[in-house]
Amino acid sequence: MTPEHDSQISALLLTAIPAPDASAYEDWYAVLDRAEVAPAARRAPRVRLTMFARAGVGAVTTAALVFAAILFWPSTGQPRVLDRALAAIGNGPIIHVTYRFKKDYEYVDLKTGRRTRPYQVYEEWLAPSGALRRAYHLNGRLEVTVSAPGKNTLSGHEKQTYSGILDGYRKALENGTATLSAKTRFQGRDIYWVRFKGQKMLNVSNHKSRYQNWALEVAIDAATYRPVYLYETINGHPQPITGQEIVSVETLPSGSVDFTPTGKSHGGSLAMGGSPVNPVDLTAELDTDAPTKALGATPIWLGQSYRGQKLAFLRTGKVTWGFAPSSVRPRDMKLHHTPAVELCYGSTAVTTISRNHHATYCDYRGPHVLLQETLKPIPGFGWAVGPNSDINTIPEGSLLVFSGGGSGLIIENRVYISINAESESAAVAAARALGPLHAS
Amino acid sequence: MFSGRGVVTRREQARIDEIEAVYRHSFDRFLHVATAITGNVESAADCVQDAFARAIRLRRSFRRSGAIEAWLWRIVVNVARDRTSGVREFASDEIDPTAREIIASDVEQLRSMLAGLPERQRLVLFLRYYADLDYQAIATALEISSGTVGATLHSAHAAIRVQIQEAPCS
Repeated sequence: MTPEHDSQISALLLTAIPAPDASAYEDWYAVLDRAEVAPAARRAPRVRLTMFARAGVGAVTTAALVFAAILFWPSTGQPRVLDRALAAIGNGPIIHVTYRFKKDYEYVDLKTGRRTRPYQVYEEWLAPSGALRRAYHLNGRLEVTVSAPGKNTLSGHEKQTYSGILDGYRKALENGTATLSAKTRFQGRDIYWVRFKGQKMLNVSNHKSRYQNWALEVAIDAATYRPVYLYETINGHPQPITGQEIVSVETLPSGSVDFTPTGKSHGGSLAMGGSPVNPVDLTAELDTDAPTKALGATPIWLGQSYRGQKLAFLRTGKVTWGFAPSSVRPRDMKLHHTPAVELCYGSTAVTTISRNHHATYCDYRGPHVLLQETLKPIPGFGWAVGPNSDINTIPEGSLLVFSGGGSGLIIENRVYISINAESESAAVAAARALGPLHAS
Repeated sequence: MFSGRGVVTRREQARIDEIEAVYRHSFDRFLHVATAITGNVESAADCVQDAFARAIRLRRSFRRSGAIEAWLWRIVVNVARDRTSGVREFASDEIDPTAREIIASDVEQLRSMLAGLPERQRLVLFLRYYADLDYQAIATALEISSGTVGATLHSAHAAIRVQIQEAPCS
């Protein structure tokens, strides 16, 4: 049987996708490198020993140089994309990178519904010694920390794969573990996507633990060959909220950056304990004084009922919490006791803590709104301390909503309110309906 | 000279030599087909390199019952398809919408037409016209029967002719 061949279609196909210039890409030694085949399999020039003997030491040296050249010289004679990317980084000993990334939350203006996603800018400098200087721009103020070499400067996975655009990026380009994955247009410019060697990491989310492949991809500007964007992938799937814009990359000479350790770190550990446990009697006429006295200000609520959901409980009490650098032992941590009020609209559920101890909580499996209120931002209710504490500043009249859920934060009449509902739209609707708790 | 996992026997070295011979003889065709599948030559070159490295690692799994070239085509096509699915998924999530603007040129129209064909028809066309493979080699590469290759190629031709006739004159 003669295979069907249509000359008209053949011409059309060759017009659509002409044959590329193969000579620019053929590289058998790169294939062997990827296959991790030992040098003998590279079919080195087969030179008889007798030839070496005749030609003498000079010829041996020449043959070795030729062999090395065959192995390492780019086959095309033209620098490849990855070579250019390596050259674009520069070779100064200190790397300085400025990043910009979208936060994983948005502000929703409660009057207009307009959504705004804020940016975070931060800079990093890495010294050859491993010392790391970090600068965070938080709400117009600058926080700088410098970590000495070997003191938690880079996390484990960063050391094992590569550390963003810092140290490991240059190494990966040098040692060939970085590979080109695509050329596309991105944010209005032509870019090359470069994929870096991933690693297995344990994922323990959803009460299941399984290994997944974590890796990074970097966008390189096709005109300048400088990195402009990076994001993480899990099992090859891009993780949208991990995207970071790389504003600038430069290398600097020795001595141009102060790497004196600052002695303090953004990192820390958190201790939490206790919650509002004193119920206000809802079967009698509501005592509005008790929660006001407990909180130290007028609490915010949604009335005796909200969208058909009754006020299931109103509790007062104190939340105990602490935050300290990781070097501080938990028992040495200074604890804070913050007055709090908690209101639940919807159903409640009971969980057993011990044989004689049960806890009632707002049942999140159905329609519900849980309000948790304090006069200070505390981490247990979704507010933050440390490097992310900029979330504690929210534009007036706006709700901060976290991506992918029904959680939000708002500040109303000096009260820091955490809202949890079954969906983001339910949280926004509840925020719009908030009002001071007065006797009805 | 040999070290660790890279040790190869003389017989395996012969297999690597065979693979190299196919690589050197047909690299331009592998690159052409991979470019057609992935959509860009840089990514295609990476795919071909990756596929041949994979073939070297899998050299013991190749059986003498078929041609080694067809076996290599199967690996190249699979690597390129895997790479394309990743890029597509990424593109739909992250790529700037302006990047998807189609340039109104004949070449882009032809590419759109090809992109609109079912994947099997596209692959059969690429292997037939860019790689110049016969039905048996295409069948081995795509793990389908020779009869299916013929039928698929016939359908692809018909689909292209219909689209050519329906395309507006520029």
